[in-house]
Amino acid sequence: MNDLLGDVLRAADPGTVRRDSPLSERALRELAAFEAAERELAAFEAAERELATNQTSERDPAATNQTSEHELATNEAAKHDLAATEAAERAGTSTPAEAHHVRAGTRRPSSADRSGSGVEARGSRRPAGRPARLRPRGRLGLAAGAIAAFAAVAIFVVALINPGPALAATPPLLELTRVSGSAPELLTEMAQMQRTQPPAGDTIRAQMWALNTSIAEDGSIESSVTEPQRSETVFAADGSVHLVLTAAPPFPGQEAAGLPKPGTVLVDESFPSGQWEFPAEAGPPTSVDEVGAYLAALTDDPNLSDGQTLREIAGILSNFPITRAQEAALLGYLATLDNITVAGQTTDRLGRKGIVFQARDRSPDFEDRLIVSPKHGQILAAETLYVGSSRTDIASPSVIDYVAWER
Amino acid sequence: MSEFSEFFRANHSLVVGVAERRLSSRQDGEEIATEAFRIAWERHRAGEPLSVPWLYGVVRNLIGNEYRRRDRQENLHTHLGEELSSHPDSLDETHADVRDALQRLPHIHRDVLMMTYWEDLTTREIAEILGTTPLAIRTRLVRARRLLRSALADLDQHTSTEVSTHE
Repeated sequence: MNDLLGDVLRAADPGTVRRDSPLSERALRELAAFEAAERELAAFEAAERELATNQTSERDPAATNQTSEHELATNEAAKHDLAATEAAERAGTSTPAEAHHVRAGTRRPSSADRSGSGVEARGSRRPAGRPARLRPRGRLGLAAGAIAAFAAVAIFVVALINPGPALAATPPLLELTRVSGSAPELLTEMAQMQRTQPPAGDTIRAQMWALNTSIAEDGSIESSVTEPQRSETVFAADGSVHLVLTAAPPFPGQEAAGLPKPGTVLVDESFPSGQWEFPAEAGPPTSVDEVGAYLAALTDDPNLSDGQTLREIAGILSNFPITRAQEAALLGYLATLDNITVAGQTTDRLGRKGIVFQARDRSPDFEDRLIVSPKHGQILAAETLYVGSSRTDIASPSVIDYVAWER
Repeated sequence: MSEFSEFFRANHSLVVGVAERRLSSRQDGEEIATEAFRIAWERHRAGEPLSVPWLYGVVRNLIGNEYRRRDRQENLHTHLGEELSSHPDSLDETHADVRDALQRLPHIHRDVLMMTYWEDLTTREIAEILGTTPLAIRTRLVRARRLLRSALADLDQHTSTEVSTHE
């Protein structure tokens, strides 16, 4: 971004360590310890595999009992570690029980860690030769599942007792009706329709809304709800881009008090040529065969889930004035993916008939959708649903973002 | 280099920096990093994938734990970098002003500026961390920059009056 302001901000950074700073001595020591542990475990795994293939059916009973006790002990240690891991990963809330859970579960950096020997101390807790993670997954998997289930119940019970802040209001879910045809069939048809449409323009108009999610200082997820917005992005011939963002009317069910009046200009900014995040040369290909490689390069990720692909396509549509041929190629590419299904037919948030395509493979917590017109084959809208069970700031399922292009 | 090694090398300084700024202590930053990568190690050994958004979530939780441990709720909105300021020159005042202006912004706008300009996270990474779209982040960033510019302009007007009386 054009960046006198950015330079000023960077200069005011109070931090002494930046993302690209070289590793400290302490970090290098810890890394060395991890690498040593990895080598040890790898050697051990190899030895175990060899032992397993050489094992005969007759084993010394005494040795078997000792082994089982060992496994029990190390599995207990591993269970504790796993609980600590899960506790640290789970977003905290302010409920006392969960705070306790997180506190109890997460080991404070102790003086042992400070000296960098924490990893070695860990290693020695595992009796030589039995890193618990290498045991048959089934046993450890069950323990982990039981812990997670217990924790989930504990949180749920506490949530009932201390309901906490009200759930954030989110836009209504789209109503879906059945439609026949598989995703690949429908998408292929729509791609073909696209190629016969009149040329698209150089202005993108959209209405969008997203849940304002941030991470509070205490680590919990906080959501606040803002007004929907309308954007108009004009791509000039000289490469410059002009973005105007205005407040749009509240979504159905949204409390209007406190929101800016619809039409209020929120942002009016020009980006000189070369400073728009999506440069002109970065447009998608017009041939279906090239789309996969294009998306991989765009995202620096060769293994995009189909859900991510839908989101990336939405991003392209919002940031780059694509041609009909480019849009047809994107639809044709979606027709080749395995995890895209038809959710149904709907009337979208701007009143247009659309077919809803969805993917659930990005994450068990999210469902990604793309809505395409069965009349013109145009991509009309995209949205994301939260479908998980652990968040306390919003209901499930609920819409957490949408964008609808005025086309 | 193993996958874990690479992940460690690529992200250790990111973690120290994020923690250092929020806890106003490089030492605490290093300790958070030790704990975060121990957790990453466990996850890796369990066969789960490692990613920057996941790591960032862990680090924020650890920072939250540290706040609770310190039991100083008012520090949730502490002035950034008071203990860290290490530029003993005339620029220091300007930097303090910028940090003050930043402090006045709504939480979500301050956050996206910090994540972009101090933590060097990409729009895409920030979007993943916050569970939203890069478009939402970019429009939030545009808005945040506009708000910061106004806040700085306000400061400017205020200080120029003061300077003239000092002269």
